[in-house]
Amino acid sequence: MDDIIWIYIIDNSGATIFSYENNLKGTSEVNQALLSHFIYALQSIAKNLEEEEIKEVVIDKNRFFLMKEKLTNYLFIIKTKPNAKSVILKVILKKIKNRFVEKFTGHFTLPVQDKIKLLKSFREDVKRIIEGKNHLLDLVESLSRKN
Amino acid sequence: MLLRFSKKNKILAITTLFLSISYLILFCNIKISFVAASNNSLITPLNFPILEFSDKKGTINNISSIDIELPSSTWYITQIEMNFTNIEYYMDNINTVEDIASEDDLFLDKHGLEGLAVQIKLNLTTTIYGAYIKINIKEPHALDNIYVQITGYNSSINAPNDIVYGQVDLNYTIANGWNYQNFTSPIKLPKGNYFLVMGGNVHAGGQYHWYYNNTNPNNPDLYISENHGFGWINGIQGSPFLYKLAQKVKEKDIFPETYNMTAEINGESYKILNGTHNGSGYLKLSDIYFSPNAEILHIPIKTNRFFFNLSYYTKLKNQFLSDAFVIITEEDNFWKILPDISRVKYNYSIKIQLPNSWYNLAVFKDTIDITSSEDIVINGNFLHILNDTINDGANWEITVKSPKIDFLIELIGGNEFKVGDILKFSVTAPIRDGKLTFRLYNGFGAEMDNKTISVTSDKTLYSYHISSDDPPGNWTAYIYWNNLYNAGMQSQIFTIKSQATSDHDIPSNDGLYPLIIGLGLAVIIGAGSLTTYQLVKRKKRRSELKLKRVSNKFKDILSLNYLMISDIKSGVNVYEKFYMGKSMDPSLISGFLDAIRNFGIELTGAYRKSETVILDYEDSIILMNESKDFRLIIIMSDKPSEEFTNSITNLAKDIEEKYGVLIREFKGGQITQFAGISELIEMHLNVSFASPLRIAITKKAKFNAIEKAVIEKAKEIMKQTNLNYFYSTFLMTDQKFNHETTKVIFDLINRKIFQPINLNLKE
Repeated sequence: MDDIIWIYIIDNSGATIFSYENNLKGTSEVNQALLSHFIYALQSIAKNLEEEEIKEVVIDKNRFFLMKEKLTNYLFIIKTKPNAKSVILKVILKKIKNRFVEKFTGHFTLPVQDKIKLLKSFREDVKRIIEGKNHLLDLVESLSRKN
Repeated sequence: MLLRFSKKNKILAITTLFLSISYLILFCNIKISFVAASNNSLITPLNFPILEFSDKKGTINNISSIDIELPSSTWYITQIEMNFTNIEYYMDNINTVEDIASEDDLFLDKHGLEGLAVQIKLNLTTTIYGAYIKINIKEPHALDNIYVQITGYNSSINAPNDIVYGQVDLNYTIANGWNYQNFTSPIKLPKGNYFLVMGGNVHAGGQYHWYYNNTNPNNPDLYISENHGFGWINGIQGSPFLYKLAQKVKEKDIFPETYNMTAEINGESYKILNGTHNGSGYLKLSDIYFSPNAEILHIPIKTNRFFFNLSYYTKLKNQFLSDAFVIITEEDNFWKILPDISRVKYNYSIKIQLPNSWYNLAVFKDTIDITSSEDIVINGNFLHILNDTINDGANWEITVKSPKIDFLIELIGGNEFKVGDILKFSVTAPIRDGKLTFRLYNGFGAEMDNKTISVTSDKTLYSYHISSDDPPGNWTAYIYWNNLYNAGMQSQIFTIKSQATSDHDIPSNDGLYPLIIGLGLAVIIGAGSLTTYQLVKRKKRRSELKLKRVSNKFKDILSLNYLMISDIKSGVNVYEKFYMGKSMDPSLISGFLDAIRNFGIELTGAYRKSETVILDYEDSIILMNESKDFRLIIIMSDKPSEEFTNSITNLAKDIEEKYGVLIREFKGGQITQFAGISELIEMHLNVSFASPLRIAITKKAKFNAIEKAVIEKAKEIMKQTNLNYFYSTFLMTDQKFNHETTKVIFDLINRKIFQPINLNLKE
């Protein structure tokens, strides 16, 4: 899924819990500060999101898909290229959120080292989800083509 | 004398020539060197496809369907070979042992028999689901406790022994006739002799008769036995009780083709072929390519009545996308592939496609060059990394070079433009694939545009609108093309003229023009040219410094996390504001700083900048400025610039001057009297830049083209996001710093066109 630029999971203070860049970016220090603020600011868009609701916004040609996890209030964000297919991205975002909940439920109080291991394994899962060409995505893609 | 004069002239001439050449070199190369300093090469990230292969083999015993674990759900199966042995086939049937009754005078009752039993003779391994028995029940009572069992066989007395293989409470739907006794779990019994028993206690006057045949039984050799409450008596032949068995029987002589044994793979049925001997078979599928989309490859075997042992061999294949990048330069290109290889536990290898044009290939494992290792094989256009060298946790890097690929640039409207024009040209990529990256720099080397366009047609058009604020001069466009395997770059110089004058505003790197000027003026300019160069250099430095300041200010503001002003005596906060970032407990930080002071640790050197102390604390930076009345604490996510640190010092001085007395006399309670501090903070730190902003345009307000564009963009974003405010960072294309946009936002905030609003996202 080349359309995905990055994925962020942030807590309600805007702190990054998890980030995944789908491409190598030569981001400068200044850009990192900008990106952090930008991601923090995206919370304003997601403020009233219901459980399982996905909000899609276009900011300056890029598309952003936002989804909240009810228990932790974590915000899941995917940034995509302009032509990304909503229907597929929504499926991917849901899968990532569900995988995160599945992986971390009951493990938020683990020692840091264990959390790092879990995050590493979650990163692999995310990679698999966004790169994996699976039956569900095929189906969604074919449906979206028909529409 | 003549000679000396001539020598002097010579020296003068040489000096003049040297200065002139120096002038030309400096003049011509100003921009070239600057652009070089900003690095003409382009690093382009790639998702590089890598194939991974695995051969998995194994054996599984006593199964009726096949489950083979795959490394992950994305893997494909390209070959599968299965050898079946010990195949067993089971048939379900009702085995009628005796069904014609002649007598029913043997029965269980309160004072008589407690058990009746008939022999079961099994010639094959048999699974018994249940038994039909023909009984006649008279006057049953609710407290009667009657059961049916299958027991072992006591060969010394031909009667049941104490081993119970299965038991069920007597079930009857009709009082006189056949009733089915269903065992909860099927009872699998090897070939041999057993007994079917009806037994138990009768509470009152009930009688539980079991029909038998003593005249012409089908199986006169079957023993029956009775239990009178003292154990089973010696069995007798010739009068078996009536029963039928619901059973599954293992067939003899199993050849898969005879029984139409099939494997269901990917929706297709494949016949299992007969093996070399009874009970064996095999299946081999080559050149297949299917993914079960699951981590388990499940292969049902039809029908479900087969049991077998299996040895299998599968060839598996998967493609994953690896992090990679290419550095596109004016000469050759450098590629680096960084595969995150997670090996599977069975035989595993990696395969990477190498185009013909690639050279200088090197494979690094944990930074060691292993290109010449026997486990690194280059075969045709493929690089193979073999099983023995792949281990978990290793860091892999594959580096390679490729030659520059040329492509065509066609100018549209020449190479001279003036402010207000649209600079445009088209590029014909080498093939209709990959992407084109365009970078446009002005005469000072500042980036004016940076865009990437996928190649979808033969010609790709690039355009840039030259605004009134753009500096005239010689601009350079760098154009980069790449796909997964090839890359190239070209550059094109454009002359941008102001509308008022066509003269060059800045020095040019156009070789011809300065050459003409240089040659014409060579004799007279000499040292003067150096002065001009110095002026240009200073102008460039000023411009760079200005950019640096805007960039620093921008970075500092966006790094602001929290600001707090507390009364130094009571520790009570008179003002606090959360900006963004991770939550921290300010009282803990305040306490931490107190502890440092109480222990008399002197904060010096790197920790002390002007009068503001800077400390690294966990992942944050804490700035503290103390006066005799209050303590100003600022938490940031990144180290601030010196200018920002100085601004904190100045802010503290201003707070001391305007609110020092109020804080000194503050005895707790309402803190509204300190609300005005926010204006001082804004004045010194411009924090509005990081706040949510709304647009307030007055009728008198006038805007230039760039301001208009920024305001329109803000409006568009508010419409898209359905919010009545926006953030400054929403206006930065691709979340990248743009000094022009930043400057415009700062200006619009100062003019109160963009106004900060209070909003707490954490609510």
